[in-house]
Amino acid sequence: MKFTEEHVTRATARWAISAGWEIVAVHPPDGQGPFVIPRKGKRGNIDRSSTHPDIVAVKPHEYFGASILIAECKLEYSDLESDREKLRQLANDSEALLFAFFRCQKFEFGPKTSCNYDILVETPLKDLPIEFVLSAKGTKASNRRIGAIGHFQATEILFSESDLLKLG
Amino acid sequence: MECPKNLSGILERTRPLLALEQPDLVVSTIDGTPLLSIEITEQQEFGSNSHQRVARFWSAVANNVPSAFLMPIESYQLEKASPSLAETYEMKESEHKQFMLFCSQIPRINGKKLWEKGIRSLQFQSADEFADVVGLKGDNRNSTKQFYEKHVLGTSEVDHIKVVPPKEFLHKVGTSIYKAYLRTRGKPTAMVLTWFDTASKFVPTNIFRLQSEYSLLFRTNGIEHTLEDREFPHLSFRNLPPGPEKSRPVNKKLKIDEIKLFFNFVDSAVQGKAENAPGREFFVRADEYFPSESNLKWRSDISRSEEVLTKASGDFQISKELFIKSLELMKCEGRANAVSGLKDLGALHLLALECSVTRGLADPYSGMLAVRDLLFTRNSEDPRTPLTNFDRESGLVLMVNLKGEAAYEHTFLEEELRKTYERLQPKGKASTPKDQLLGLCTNVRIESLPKNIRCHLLFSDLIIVRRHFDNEIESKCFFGIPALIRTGELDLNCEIIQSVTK
Repeated sequence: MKFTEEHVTRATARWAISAGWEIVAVHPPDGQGPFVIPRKGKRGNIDRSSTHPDIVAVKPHEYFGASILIAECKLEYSDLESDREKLRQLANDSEALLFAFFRCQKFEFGPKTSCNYDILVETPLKDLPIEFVLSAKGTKASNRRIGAIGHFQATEILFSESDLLKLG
Repeated sequence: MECPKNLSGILERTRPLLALEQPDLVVSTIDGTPLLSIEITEQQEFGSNSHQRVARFWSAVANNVPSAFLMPIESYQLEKASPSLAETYEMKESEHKQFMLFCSQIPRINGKKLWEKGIRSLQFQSADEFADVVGLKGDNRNSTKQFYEKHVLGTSEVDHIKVVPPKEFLHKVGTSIYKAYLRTRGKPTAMVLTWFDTASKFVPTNIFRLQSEYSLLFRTNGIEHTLEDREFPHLSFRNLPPGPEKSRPVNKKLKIDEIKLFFNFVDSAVQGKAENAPGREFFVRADEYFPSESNLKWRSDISRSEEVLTKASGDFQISKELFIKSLELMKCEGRANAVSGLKDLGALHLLALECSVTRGLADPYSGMLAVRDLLFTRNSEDPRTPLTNFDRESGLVLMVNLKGEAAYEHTFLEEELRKTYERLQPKGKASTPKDQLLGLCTNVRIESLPKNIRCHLLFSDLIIVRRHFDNEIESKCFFGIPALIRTGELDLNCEIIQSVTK
């Protein structure tokens, strides 16, 4: 069986649900991303000059309404460095992070698990409730904290081939 | 399986369907006989992007294969607000601000003037009452009234999505103001919807509208997806549309959602009994999704030959005589010969494009040409006439204006054609672009041509390439395949035409 990045993305989404996250959007490799975040310093249409995270998820948060998970996935572990750099840039771009919260905000008739955006805009960057995940296929399954990316907690998840095979 | 760029490994019966471009999904029998071609997009139109996939559907029609296109048609959008809207955002919270925010979403009305007239609310029970108060006349009154009926009151037979409430319309994110708004359809979508209606007379070729949910306004521009599917886990997290019976029906009378209709269509195609899905006529009913063609002005008339020289991009209709004069005016190389390619044609449809970069001219131009082929050139919509006959009443002329860096560097069309000829016909001796094309048409399959020139040559009678150098404009004229068929220099049994369907 030939594995692709999509297997890792789907396995990561399944892991996120098991960890209590609610998936907002999944961006398949080479596909159209429904959750677009404009990049720092770029003007105009948000669909250009933008970041499309592989997975965006939310989890209820007592104070902020919801916290956000952003995951980047690659098939091979050795290819994760570019995603790590992408997340580093995102972690330092307060406008982009605010935009992610803006898209997950609470509003009338909106989804139940959502952020109190008015509180978040007054919150210092370092305190924003956001977590990152980097995932790939590994020889053995593992899940470990890898220290912070920017100010934010990051987790590295490796899925074994048998994990990926279970996806169906 | 994933479709490879090189089609040599594809089953012979499937190849013609993939010859122009590769669809998202093809359902076929085990021996490769295609039963259905499917495209799915979440993107609403931005410029001509909605035309991008039409060459694939054209192939399906030419091959008598039913096809389905799932697309939003109307959806929500998030983008930076204009400076004038940003000013509205900065207004103090008040009845006035709410009024202005509401007015900003209704086409053709001026909130400032209405406020000055003493109007304080535009919430009415009927669209007539609304139209009376805003005081529009004629076509403007009708179209604005219809917008109010569909997107404010929601009283139309079709479930149109509602405008965004004023309090959610504008938002400050960091230093920027964004608007979350209902993006309505424009001319390109109207052309695609009409194209499908025309194509469906040949073979079932249907659009299915992806429904939008207000609750997902900010998250996914309203577009719904299948996230975790516990019943069918293999469908989870693939960015697929929701399953059947999970969205509101678009056509209120039918009471069946579009995804269910789509699957009914798939089932009938798989059984070899495909029929056009019910309710598709709503997509082209006058004033439902777009005004009638006469109001929409899909193309402008050119009444003086000089005008052609100034048209950088757009759709135009021009008489053959005026067009020939314009070739004289631009001192177009090859014009004397080119005129023969226009024989037996009445008016011409001129598609003008402007390009100032050196990237290839494949997408979305291939689809744009396929749209124009069926909408503007055909003699009849008789399904017994194969599309590959190119039986045309009006000609299709593609005029490419290469500017800036592209004027000097772009390889469209002559260089690309020559290189293709040298690659595919290494022993060939043809030296002119026309002879090179004739040589290729006689000996190679259509998919062998690079995509940057493939559909351009297949759909255009003539291709004009104008290079806007710093000191002069060089114009050259090239034959396309339909013109070569019309002049009798190319037979319908030639390899390239045959390969479109065999």
